[in-house]
Amino acid sequence: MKDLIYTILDLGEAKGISYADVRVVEESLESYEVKDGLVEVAEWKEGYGFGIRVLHDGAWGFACSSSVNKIEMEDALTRALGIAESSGMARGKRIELFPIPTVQNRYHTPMERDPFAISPAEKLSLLIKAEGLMRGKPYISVSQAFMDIYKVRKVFASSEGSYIEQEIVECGAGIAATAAGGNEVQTRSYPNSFRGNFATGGYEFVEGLDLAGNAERTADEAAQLLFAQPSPSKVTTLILDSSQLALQIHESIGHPVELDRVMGMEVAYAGTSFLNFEKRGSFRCGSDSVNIIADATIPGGLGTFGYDDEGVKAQRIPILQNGIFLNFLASRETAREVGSQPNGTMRAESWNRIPLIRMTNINLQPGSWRFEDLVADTDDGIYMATNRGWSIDDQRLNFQFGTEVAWEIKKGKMGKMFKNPTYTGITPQFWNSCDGVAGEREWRLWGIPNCGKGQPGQVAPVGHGAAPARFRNVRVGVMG
Amino acid sequence: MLGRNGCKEILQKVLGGSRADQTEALIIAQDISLTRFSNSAINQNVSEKRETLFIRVVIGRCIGSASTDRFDDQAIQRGLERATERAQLQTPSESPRFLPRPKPFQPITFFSDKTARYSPSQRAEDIQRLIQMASEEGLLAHGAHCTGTVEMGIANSLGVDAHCIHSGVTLNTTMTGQGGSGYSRFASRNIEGMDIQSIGREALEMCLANRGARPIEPGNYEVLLNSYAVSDLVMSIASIGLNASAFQEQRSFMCNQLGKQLLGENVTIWDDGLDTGGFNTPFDFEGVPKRKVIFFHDGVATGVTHDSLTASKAGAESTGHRGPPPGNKGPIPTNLFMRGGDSSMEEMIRSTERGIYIHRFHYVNVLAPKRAIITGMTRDGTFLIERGKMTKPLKNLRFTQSILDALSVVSLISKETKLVAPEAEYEIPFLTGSVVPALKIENFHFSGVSETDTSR
Repeated sequence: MKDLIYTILDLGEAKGISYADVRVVEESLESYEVKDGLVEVAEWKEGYGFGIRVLHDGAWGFACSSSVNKIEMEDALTRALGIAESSGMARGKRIELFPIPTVQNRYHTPMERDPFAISPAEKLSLLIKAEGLMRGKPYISVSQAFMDIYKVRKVFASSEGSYIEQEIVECGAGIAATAAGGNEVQTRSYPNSFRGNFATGGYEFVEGLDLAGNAERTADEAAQLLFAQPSPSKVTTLILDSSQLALQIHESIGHPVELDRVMGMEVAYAGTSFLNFEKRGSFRCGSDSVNIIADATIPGGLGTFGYDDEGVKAQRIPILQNGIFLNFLASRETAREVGSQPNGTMRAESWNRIPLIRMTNINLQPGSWRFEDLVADTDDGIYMATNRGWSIDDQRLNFQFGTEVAWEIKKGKMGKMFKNPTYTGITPQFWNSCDGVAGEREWRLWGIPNCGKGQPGQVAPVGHGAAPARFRNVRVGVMG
Repeated sequence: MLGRNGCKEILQKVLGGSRADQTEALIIAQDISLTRFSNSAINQNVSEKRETLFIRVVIGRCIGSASTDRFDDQAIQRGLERATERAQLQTPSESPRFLPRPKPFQPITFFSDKTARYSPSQRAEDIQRLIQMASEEGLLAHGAHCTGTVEMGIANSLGVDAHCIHSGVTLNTTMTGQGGSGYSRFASRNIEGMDIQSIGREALEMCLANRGARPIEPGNYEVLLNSYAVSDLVMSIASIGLNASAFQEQRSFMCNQLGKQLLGENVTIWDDGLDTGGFNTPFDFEGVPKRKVIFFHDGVATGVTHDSLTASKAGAESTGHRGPPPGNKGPIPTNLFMRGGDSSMEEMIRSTERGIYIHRFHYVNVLAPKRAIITGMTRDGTFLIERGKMTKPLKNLRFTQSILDALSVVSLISKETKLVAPEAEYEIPFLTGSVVPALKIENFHFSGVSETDTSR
């Protein structure tokens, strides 16, 4: 493969292409879903292909194919060059890349038990056991258990001389119980909604989730929600669990610091950002309690890797320090434009997509509180847990989230359960209202495997570390 | 593209190599190109050729599946083994799990050679024209222009043998500048009908009119929704409630409501994969012919879509709505239509004493599926209407609204309908869209206003 890739890069050089990179990607995926006592999905998937990105006369071209051979690669190179020439017909500024050191290296996800070495029967039995503990409980109409495992082997080679081989393994699992009664349907999930929690690492991560140990409680809470009062509508103190906070970080901090959005490269689809270059280093985006780091090096994070898909080493970058906005996520192209540094955040979903600026693990650093103290210190408020829905405007300012469940907080104690909780706010106001973040004991890494971006659409696995946190004067209970 | 014979050769290899009770092989081949532009320059430009083989096997009452991008004999054998292994792991289902039997499907036109062969330089020329239009008014153009073909070949051991190739084009553009933004979108099977001037003009005029937006108090307003906004509402309720999976699992707002008046008497919504006005296709992802399904007839709830699995549970027939593999999202409607009325946008504006015009929505998501309550933002054109005229551009608003309630108080419906396709396909392009009119709705709830900075 190495010889073939170098042959193609040499051919590109002979054609006068100023920069080219080749990615060859081999993927394996196993996906399982047990639903109401049946194996609903038992899927095995393999993918194999390559993509060639060229920068020619200051404009980009990209072509790819699922047929990996010399003829197809030569054809793709020619197509990519033709496309770059077409890009030149409506070129803006001549694109230049921030110079980086060339790298020859390998990286692989550290793990104890390769999930692909575990038999499908063992994996299914874990799900069947957990699902079985929820099925048949009062009011439960649908019980589900999920597991996904994914492995990618990828080679990145550039005309500048980098050659990087990586093997990244991801896995995760979860359960969900749906209760129905009257005209009401409610779902509770564990450890998170939308198929569970995910990480880079081995099968030990899945086993550590203890799905079976949490199954009955999950089902019971779904049934209790049928009889819970609706979440009140008022302005109050809000405490978020760490999984909901992970999505809050994702939508209102992670996306706004993507430099391509800031530079208007996503205007027509995902939108832009309320942040800009002038705000870097001075804008107060959160209270002193809010410290956020983009960390692609943290063990187990779903956004953890060795090198990005431009060959830039994974990094740990401060994003907000004591609430002050410090850094964007930047590519070689965008960093060059604004006099910044590329920080290893360009990733492609697969061989058939170009790399885009993506979040890595955008983590809220732990604070000094304990969760029980946050509650005890709250006279009147609401605690919300587990995401159910989200929406945010095209500059990432006005957001609204729904969660699966909430509990009243009265005089420092958790009280009755509420159904259909929602809260809404404006990003900087919300983060500035944060007056307490729980500590390391309750800090947890959450993996979101399906962050969508780009046209054609592509998803990326990203991570968010968070501990429960408290926010003052938040509007809750918005339901039409 | 592999062509009918190329597909058939591979599909027969799969069926011939299988020892399962029933076997299905599906090939999806895509040749898709997309050019993105932002800040009046092309910034991303890609071309993808992908061929994927999906295998499903049935052993007794158990199903396993596998897929691969490789088509050599070893890969086919490996796929069959993996699918068989997974089927053998399962507990037999109480309800039968059979692959569909063959049924004739209607020959319909869905391929345009000119569209399929549209080149990167032709897309760049189209984009240059949009950039030029924007530039003449001191604006910037952004967007994406996608052309290409998708081929599907499917065969199963019960005799299903289906093949189609369809072409498609989508173009969306946003124009920004001077504190405004405007938007336009086009979709078709055939690029012949694409009018760049008209697409550009819609975005440009909206942007120029939309400068200097001011906030308005949230609350209940009469609204006029452009087709883009109506499409978001209709696609949302389709995914959460108009399919048999949601219905059978009691998640749907249609549960116990069939035969009842759920929407206004002037609202009829259906799915028709054979209608040439939409992104038509003759069969679904298991080779079952597409059938028209009416969800609401004069506002009365009448039905939901099925695939083979949900149909077997319900004792019904599949309506040809199995989704792309693995198909576990249920039979989601993909070719939605809403009946047009006899009004026009101009008449709707003229007849409005005080209301809000909404060009499009952004980031629409579900809050309460059983009541069809969704939330989202307005974007790229929100205006106050006073005494029959659009008077002021407004800052973007957040809505939180039951769509069933909204579609119960539709006072006017435009005669003209428009095909609206998703902006970013994550799976297979040119298969999903809705053909919908503009609507005037008597009561719509806005729960917040954005502090969006429009200085760009």
